[in-house]
Amino acid sequence: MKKYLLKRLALIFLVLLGVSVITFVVSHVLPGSPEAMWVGPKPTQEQLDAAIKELGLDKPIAVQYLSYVKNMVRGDLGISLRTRRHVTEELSRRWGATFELVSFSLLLALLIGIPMGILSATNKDKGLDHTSRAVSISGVAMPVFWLGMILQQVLHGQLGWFPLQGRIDSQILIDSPIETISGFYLVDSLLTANWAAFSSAFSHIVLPALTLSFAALATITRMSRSSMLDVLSEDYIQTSIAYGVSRRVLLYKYALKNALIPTITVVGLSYGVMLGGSFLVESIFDWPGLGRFAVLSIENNDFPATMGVTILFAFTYIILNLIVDMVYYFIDPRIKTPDMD
Amino acid sequence: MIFYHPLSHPNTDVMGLIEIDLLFLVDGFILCSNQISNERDKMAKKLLLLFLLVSMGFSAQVFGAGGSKSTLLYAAYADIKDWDPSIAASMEVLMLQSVYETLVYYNPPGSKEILRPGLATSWNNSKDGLTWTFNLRKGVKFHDGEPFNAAAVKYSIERTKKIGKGSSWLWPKGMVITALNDYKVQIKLKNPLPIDLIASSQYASYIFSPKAGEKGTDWFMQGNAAGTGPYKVDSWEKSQQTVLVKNDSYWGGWSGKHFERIILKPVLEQSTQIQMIKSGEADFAALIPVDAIPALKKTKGVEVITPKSWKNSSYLINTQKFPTNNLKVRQALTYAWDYNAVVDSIYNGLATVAQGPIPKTMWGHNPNLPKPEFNLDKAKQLIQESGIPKSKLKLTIAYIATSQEYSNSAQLLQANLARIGVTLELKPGPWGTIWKNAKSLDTAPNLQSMTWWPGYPTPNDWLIGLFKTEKSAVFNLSHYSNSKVDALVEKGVNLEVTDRKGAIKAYQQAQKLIVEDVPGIFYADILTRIVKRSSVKGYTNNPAYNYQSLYPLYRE
Repeated sequence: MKKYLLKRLALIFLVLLGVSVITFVVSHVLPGSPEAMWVGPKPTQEQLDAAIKELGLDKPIAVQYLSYVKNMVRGDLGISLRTRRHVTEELSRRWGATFELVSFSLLLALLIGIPMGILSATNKDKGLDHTSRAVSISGVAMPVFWLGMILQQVLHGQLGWFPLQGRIDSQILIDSPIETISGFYLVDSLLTANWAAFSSAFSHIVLPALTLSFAALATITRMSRSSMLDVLSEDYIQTSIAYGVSRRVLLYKYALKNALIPTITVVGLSYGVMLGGSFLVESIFDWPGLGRFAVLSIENNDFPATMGVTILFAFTYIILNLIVDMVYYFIDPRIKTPDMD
Repeated sequence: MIFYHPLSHPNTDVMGLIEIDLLFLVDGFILCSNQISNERDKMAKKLLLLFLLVSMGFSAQVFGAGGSKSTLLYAAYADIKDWDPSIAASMEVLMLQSVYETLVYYNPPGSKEILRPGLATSWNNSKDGLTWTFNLRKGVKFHDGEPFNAAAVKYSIERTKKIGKGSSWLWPKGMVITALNDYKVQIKLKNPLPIDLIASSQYASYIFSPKAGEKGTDWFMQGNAAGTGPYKVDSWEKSQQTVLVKNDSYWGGWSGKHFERIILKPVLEQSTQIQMIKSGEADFAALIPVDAIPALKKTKGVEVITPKSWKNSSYLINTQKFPTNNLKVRQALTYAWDYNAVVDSIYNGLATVAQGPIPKTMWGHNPNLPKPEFNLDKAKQLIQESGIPKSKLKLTIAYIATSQEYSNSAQLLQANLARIGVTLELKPGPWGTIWKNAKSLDTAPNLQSMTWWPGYPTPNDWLIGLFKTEKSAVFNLSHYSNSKVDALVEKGVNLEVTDRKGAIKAYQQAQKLIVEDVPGIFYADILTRIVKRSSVKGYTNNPAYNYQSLYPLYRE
């Protein structure tokens, strides 16, 4: 097992290196004027020249890349050209917001998707099945930004159930700010018994989470449905029914665990999809996270920030898939590669 | 607790997903233990009850902080990035104008006096325009408790010039600032310049506490401020909101109606800004697109003001690149532009047809310039007179891709030029990219979009910034060079203080020459658009400032 883990960790390092090379080359080859952004509007030629020297843009690209990697190893990801802060500071500040949103969305997708898939499977070809399959298809087909705006219009504009944008109410930030323990508003406010803040944070996360989770929800429903159908047709299920095992025990104790294994694969992939979806969702809902930061950085060709975000996203995705693989191993003893022993 | 058997009952479609979820969780929780225990059942019921209570609590919430008499919410299009008053040169002015102050302020056009007192109560200059003296206001303190005095003024201006970033170029090299006494400051120049106008600028002219300045840019960048203004910075939740609160010891006092707290909230999406201003959640919206204005004008509770500004838009024509290096081709382009259609339909009436390189609202504008005309026959004739064969009449036009106005105007020009046998290739892109391309002749387009406004209230900002001969172009993207124009502008600059009439004459002559050389299609004087709630009163417009202090505002 140790050998397997070490091998995986070494692979992570190689993947991140590759990601950094590609992103660096692309962001430097793209036409643009990073020194103009650094200096600000209406600069003089002297200011521009000074900026080029300051940013090291006059050196050859290989030299620039090597100095970037040297700094990265020391933990310095450079200074964002747009916000003039350290990239590591920007990333760590926003990571909590995005991670909270994506985790909440994944939870939502699982809580709605799995039961829906199971109900679909047990009521095959009846009304509920058709409805859930229709919801599934629409979830995969609907563009994220469109869904977000529709939810804003309907659930806020017309019904007034949820707030329009942001992570928390302005008043709450002023009157009863949340003490930062983990960086997740929901967790921190519960830990500090700050009920007003918890309520506000919860109501603000619902719409973005619904938007973000919808596509993953669709996939998880379909996956649960089809794997449940497969399991229910297995011989050992028929045998258990013959032995008179109650339907409820049958469903939960025997069928469900086996049906969930392919769903776990989808969880890992969905997390990646959601990290990408966060770009759009955070922009629509003014969620102060990495997705919005990434969009602004890319739009302005702020290459230190773009590289920092890309590497962080790649790293998160890889780690998550490693965890999923570990979960497989513990759930299903049949899944093993030779290294794992 | 309802028990169900998913394998058997068709009635399960009736149940909502949430209930199924809860039952799934709770039942699963119970069964995992392989026993149905009474205590677990009870605990499960308690959990369910708690969940229901909490979710009911949310629906009772009221959202939005709009409509309060003491708080104003401004939906800005970005977060405050540059907090250092010596460096900031962009939309930070929204915050800086309420937190910091300048020595003097420019009055809206049509006022009796050009300037009004700010931190300086009176000022004068020597006849030759080389010595400027400001008498300062007494009894003013900075937000950090330090006293406002001549030493602070000297420190602020010198620091801005030394750092050399942002719009520090407004202040001239070689100026000597002396604190004659605690409340008198003198500025001596090498060349005559209107220091009073420069001191009123929204960039590079803020006075701040020297103690704060010493802490450096990093201190400011953490969200700190130390000005003399009516509002102090209370908190900055990065990317979420900046909160300003009333400065109780403000020298201007708090009699009359004012807001006590101001929230500056970055709202990136234009559609979200529109929803917020409609619902009253926001009191001001900063970036409403042109096509949303007509609908907002009709919305109850929303007020749209479209005053004249000092902004203008043009398409600069490259005077050194084939085929626009030919004067007749350039003239033809100005006749192929449909001025009224652009202003009425593309800008939705939010611009007026320009007359020359300087907006009609700026002092020193030459009213006798020929009015632009849309005449395709004349354009065709000029093309023929140029002697350039049709096969070589291929032009490129570059503009900021995200601007609907630029994009639509470019496409209209493309269509009109096609009618007279000229091909126009569209090259939209982000500003950084197109600016870089436009600066060097081998990558520059024939036509380049440009929107300009002055650093301080003067016509020479356009004449120097856009049309002065430059060895390597910065903003002179028409690559235009006319030594006669350069000489006239320099003459005007030197006369601005001592002989304004003479300066105006020189500037007007320069404009005439520029228009004759056709380095651009000067097509629109832009109207500002202010979108706010009708209940917010006290707003006055001033073209000298993109944003003004929010102190005079109040809610009815």
